[in-house]
Amino acid sequence: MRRSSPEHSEGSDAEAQRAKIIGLGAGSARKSYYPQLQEKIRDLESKQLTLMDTVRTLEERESELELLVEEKNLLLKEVHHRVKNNFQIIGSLLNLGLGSISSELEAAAFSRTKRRIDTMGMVYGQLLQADRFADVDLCELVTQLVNALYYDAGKPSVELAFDMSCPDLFLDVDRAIPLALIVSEAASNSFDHGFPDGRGRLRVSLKEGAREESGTLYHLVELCDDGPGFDIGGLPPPGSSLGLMLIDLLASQLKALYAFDTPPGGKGTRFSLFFI
Amino acid sequence: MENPLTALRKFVAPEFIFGNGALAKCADYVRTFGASKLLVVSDEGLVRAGWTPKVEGLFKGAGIDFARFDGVSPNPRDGEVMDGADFYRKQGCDMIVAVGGGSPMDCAKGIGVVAANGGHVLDFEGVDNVPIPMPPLLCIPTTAGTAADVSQFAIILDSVRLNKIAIISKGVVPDISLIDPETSCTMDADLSAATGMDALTHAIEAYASNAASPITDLNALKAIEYLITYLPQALRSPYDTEARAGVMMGSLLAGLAFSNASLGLVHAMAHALGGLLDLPHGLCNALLLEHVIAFNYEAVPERYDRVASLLRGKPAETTQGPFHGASDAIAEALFKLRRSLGLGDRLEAAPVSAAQLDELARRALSDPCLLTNPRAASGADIVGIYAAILPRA
Repeated sequence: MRRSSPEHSEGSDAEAQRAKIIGLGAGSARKSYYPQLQEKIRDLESKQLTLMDTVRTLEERESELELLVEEKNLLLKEVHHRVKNNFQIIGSLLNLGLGSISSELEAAAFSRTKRRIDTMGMVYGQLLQADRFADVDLCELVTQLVNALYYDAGKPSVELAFDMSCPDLFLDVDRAIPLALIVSEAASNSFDHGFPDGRGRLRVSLKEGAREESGTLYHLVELCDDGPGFDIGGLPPPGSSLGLMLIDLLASQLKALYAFDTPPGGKGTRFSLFFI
Repeated sequence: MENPLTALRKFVAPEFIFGNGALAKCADYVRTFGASKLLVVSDEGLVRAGWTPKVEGLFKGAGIDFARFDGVSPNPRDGEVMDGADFYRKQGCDMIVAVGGGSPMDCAKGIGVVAANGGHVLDFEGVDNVPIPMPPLLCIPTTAGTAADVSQFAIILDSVRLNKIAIISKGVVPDISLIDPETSCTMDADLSAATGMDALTHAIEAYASNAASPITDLNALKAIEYLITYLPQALRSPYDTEARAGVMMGSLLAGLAFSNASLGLVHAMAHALGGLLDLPHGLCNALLLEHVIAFNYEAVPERYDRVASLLRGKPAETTQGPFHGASDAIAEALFKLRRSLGLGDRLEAAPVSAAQLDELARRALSDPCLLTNPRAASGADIVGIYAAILPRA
C-alpha cells in the first residue's frame, strides 16, 4: 500500500494536527467529568471543614455568652435584691421614726411616705419573685399592691373586687414604678375617704381597649368605690396635695391620662388611668 | 509507510442502541444520567414529521421536564448555537437531547460546548479545543448519513465569513445514541439520496484515509456493502423498514469509521462549498466523490480497487492485483448509483467566478479533513476538481 504523508501545511505541525484528529495527540483522551467532580468534591470537603470550624467556634462563643448572661442575671438579681432590701430598711426606719411622732398630722404624712417607699419595694420584690429581671406582670402587681394597702387600711368590712382582664401585660421597671405609685395614691385615697363607716366596695379593674379613630391599643386601670363621692369643686388643686401632685407628675411621666369622676349610678368615686 | 497493523491507532465510539424501537428507550437513558431538565434540540421539519413531539411525549409520560429549541436551519449557524446555549442556561437545563439529522445534532454539540465552557462557539474551532466536556448528550438521528450521533465532529457555519468550521474533539462524541431506523422513513427522496451519499462518502474516505486502521477498515467496508445494497432499495420503497435499517446501519458503520480514521479531500472541498454557497452537504459529497477518487487513486490503488469491487457488487477477493480500470469502474458505479437515487452529475448552482473558485480552494486547503487524505493536493488540483462539478461564470 502506498500512502502519502501529509504535506498540506508545514510538516511537523500538520503531523501533530493529524495525530490529534485520530485521537493520538497530547491531551486527546476523551474528556471525563471525573477531574471536575474530584475538584468539586475537594472544594466541598474543604468548605465543610471550614464550616465545621465555624460551627465549633460559634458553639464555644455561645457557651461563653450563656455563662456571661447567667453571670449578668445573677448580678442583676443581686442588685434588685439589694434595692428591695434598701426599700425595706428605709420603710423600717420610717416605721421606727413613726413611734416618736406625737402629731397625728405628721404621723399621717410619715405613714404616707412609708407607703410610697413600700410600693416601690414591692415592684422589686415582684421582679425577684417572678425571676424576671426586666419587667413585671401588671395584673399581679396591681392585685398585690391593692391587697397590701387593703390590709394596711384595717377596714375588713370593705369588700374588694378585681376584674383583671389583661393577662400577660408586662411593664418594664421604669414604667412599673410610677404606675404602682399612681395606683397606690388612688387606692389609699379610696381607703382613707371612700368608706367613712368602714363598709363598702372597691372595684379594681385593668382592661385593654382600642381607640376608635386610630385603632391604637391602650390600657385602662380603674379604681371605683361606692363611698360618699366627692365634690368636684371642693377637690384641692393638684399642687396643694402631695398625693394628687404625685398622680399628676407621674401620669405625665408615663404619658398617661387620668380622671376622677363619679361612676354611673351617681355614687362613689372613680379614678381612671389610660396609658399606651 | 506505516504498517496499518502495528501503527498506533485509537477507536472512540459512544454507547449506542440500534434497531426499531430504540427511540422508546430515551426516557430510561435520561434518567440514568440523572438530568433534571432537558434541552430538546430539533428543527421544524422534525417537529412537523412528528418525531420531536413523539420523543417529548415519552419524556412527559416519564415526568421528565424539558424545553424545546427548534431554531436550527440546515447547515447550522453560529448564531443559532449561541441562541440555543443562551436558552439552555435560561431554562436551567442540565442535559441535551438532539432529535434530527446532522444540523440539530451539530447544533446540539455546539450548544453543549458553549454551555460547558462559555465563550463563542467559533472559539472552539479546530482539533481538541474543547477543554471542558459538554453536558450529557443523547442523540436520536432521523437521517441516515451524517453520523453526527457517533462522531467527534461538529460542523458549524460561521455566518459572517460564510465558512464552515469544524470542531473536532473527543469531547463532542455523544454519550448515547438511540438509532431507530423507523425514524428515517419520513425522509423525502432528495434528503434520503443526499444523506445516503454522505454516508457512502464517509465510508470510502475513511477507508482511503492515511489514518485508517483494521478496525476502521472493518466498519468502512461493511458500511459500503450495506449502503450499495440498501440505498437504492430505500429510495424505491421509502417505508421498507429493512431497507431503511440497512442504510441506517451503513451510516452508523461509516460514522464509526470516519470518526476515527477521519476523512479526506471530498469533505474538505464539500465543507468549503457548503459554507460559501450554502449547498446541501450530502449533495456536494455525492458529486465530488468520483472526481476526488480519480485524483487520489494513484496513492492507494489497492484500497480503491476493493471499493470498486464492492460498488460493483463483486466480492473483493475476485479483484486480483493492480486493477487499473478501478478508478473508471468506481466512476461508472457511482454514476449508476447517482442515477438510481435521482441525482445529477453537476451542481445546479449560480455560475461560479474564478475568484470564488480560488477562495473555495483556499478554504479546502486549510480544512482539517485534508490532513488524512491519501494524496497531497495543491490549490490547482482542487480548482480542477471543483471545475468538474460547478457551472463556470
